[in-house]
Amino acid sequence: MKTILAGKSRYMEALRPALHDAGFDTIAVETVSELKELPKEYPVILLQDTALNPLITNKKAAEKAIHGLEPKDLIVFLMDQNQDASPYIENCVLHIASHLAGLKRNIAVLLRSSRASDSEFDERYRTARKKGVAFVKYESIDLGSDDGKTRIELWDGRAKLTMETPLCILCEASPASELYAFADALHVRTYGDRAVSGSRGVSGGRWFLNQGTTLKRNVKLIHTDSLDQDVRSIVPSLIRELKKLYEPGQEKIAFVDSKKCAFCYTCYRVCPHSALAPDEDNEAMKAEELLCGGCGICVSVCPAGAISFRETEPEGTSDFREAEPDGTSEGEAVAQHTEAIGQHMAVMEQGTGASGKEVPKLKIFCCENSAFPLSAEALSGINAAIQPVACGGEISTSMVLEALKQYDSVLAAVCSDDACKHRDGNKRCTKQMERLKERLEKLGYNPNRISSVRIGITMADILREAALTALKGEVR
Amino acid sequence: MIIASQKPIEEIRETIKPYKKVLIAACGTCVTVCLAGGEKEAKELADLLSLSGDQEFRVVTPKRQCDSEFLEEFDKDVSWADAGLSLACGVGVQYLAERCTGKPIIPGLNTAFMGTNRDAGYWTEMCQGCGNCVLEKTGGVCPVARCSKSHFNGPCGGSSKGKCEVNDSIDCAWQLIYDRLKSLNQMERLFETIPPRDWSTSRDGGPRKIRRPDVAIEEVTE
Repeated sequence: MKTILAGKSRYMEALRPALHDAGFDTIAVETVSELKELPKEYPVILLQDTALNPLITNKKAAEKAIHGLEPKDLIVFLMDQNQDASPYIENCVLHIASHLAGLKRNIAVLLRSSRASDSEFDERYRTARKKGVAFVKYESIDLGSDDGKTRIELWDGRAKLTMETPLCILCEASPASELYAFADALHVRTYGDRAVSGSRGVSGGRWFLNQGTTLKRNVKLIHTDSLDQDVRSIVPSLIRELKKLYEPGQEKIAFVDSKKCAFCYTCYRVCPHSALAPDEDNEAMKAEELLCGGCGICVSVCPAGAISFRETEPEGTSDFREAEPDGTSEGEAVAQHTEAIGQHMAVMEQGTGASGKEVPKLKIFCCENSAFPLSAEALSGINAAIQPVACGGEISTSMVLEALKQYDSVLAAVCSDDACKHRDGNKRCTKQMERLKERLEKLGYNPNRISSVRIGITMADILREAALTALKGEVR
Repeated sequence: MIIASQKPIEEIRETIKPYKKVLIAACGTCVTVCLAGGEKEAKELADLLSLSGDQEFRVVTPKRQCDSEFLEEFDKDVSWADAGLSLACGVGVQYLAERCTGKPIIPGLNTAFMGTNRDAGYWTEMCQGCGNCVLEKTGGVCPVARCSKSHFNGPCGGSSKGKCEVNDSIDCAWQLIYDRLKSLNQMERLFETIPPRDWSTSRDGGPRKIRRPDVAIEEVTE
């Protein structure tokens, strides 16, 4: 059986060979009619580049757009997104708005919610304000057009504000229309296709650009985002999705032990995929299998130790399971892939163990979306034990402490700032490590025995440097 | 819910120093929910403290340390230990201490207040257990717990822009009361003077007891 990669994505060309190397046979289709000709039981991965308005990503395009305008004209950036939307857009807007304000233009940024209170954004907002960008936070907005100009009426909770602009830049990422055509053809509903304001329920509001789910097991939507991603950063999560499709019983997802659950809602609050919600009897939390992104954030934060990773039930109720694959070649391929990772780990574990080198002194937890694909290249010659994790958020204090019993130092290598596929697993990891360092120091241990680094998929040298520094931090 | 936070780790280490075997008792209710003394915190603490290799630790997690029915497991393990480190609120610590006469029970948390979880990792004080609730008069905002001076009849002169003079991160309770009564259309309540009150229902009357004779098995005369 083959896997259909459907959609128009600039990653398609690079993805297919990468997936082929991992043992997955794929067919690329770009149109609905092509899709309809293929056997129905083939699993489908919908790939979707979300299209960002170029005026917020490209300085030159933005400069060109304001070229014919009067200097007194107001230029409006409309950021109609809720607090769960991608921080990437906010970042782009702040950058371009500051740039245009620096060209002595009147710039207003209208926003429904902002990350201004987030320490990482605080400085960017301050810089933009200094350059003269005006920020207006609103509760509701009305747009109309009037003589070639956009008329904006907004309500900020206290007062009504009206403005007119020749250039209203919509700051949003929207999936291209083909996606909807595919979704219709496959009879799936896209889940939260637009960041909606207001409610924070499971079905509304908590939606992230990086992860899409169709709530149907054999159809998966992967947003490839508008970030200039290296294709290698998509492959691990795609392989995970494919494994989910071919071997539903093998996928690691969160499982809540209802007897231990303290019903504290911590997991509900922190889950980036809205996968945790009260169970039917309202007595404990329950992880929704199809929503779970397998990041492990809930496992590491659960105060009652009630959540663990568990392999999904082989007895799936899904339509895909009914169309059981007859040959096991794909399953073997997955197994081979897993084995390859295992061997890779074993090699790293022993250094050049066969030649009798000493046991590693450093343990590195590598996020499989960034550091792990890099680790073989970046850490060659470094005697370290590598452990891949689904997300930085999976790395718990206990895991680090456990590792410290065996190794001199521990390094957590996680994704760079806004790149986390699970919203903030990377930041959670760094913050946990900082807290642990502090506690170790208070107990009189060398806090440098643990460290963390945030890296992108191309930053092999930074990972290497961090590993070397971590090795130096050791104290026995 | 009772909100607590873990004591500084160096302080905990100092207090348990004399003991070779320490039983860490987590508590599965309030302090689990406020992330201070649940099973996860207890295990982390055990891991951290055992790094030195001088002491041995075991962890038990009764559902509640404040009810004897949940403490059987603790009773068994405590016979192994030289001391117990309770990660419950002050109630749990004392209750364990009462049960094991021969062993010291050491607190691992600072019990802070009765409050609510505002957001992930954020708790605020809402009630002081004064024993005589006046929330119906104040729009559901407690002047005892949420006004820094526990004022009953309006704000002090230190209220500025809705914030308290003690610390501008504290909302002025009387601003909240005013806003709330306004939204309830009950502004006339602000003209009611609340007379000086009898604090004997609070701590001033000494440790408090509540009895329900209808539930009690034996008749109690006191």
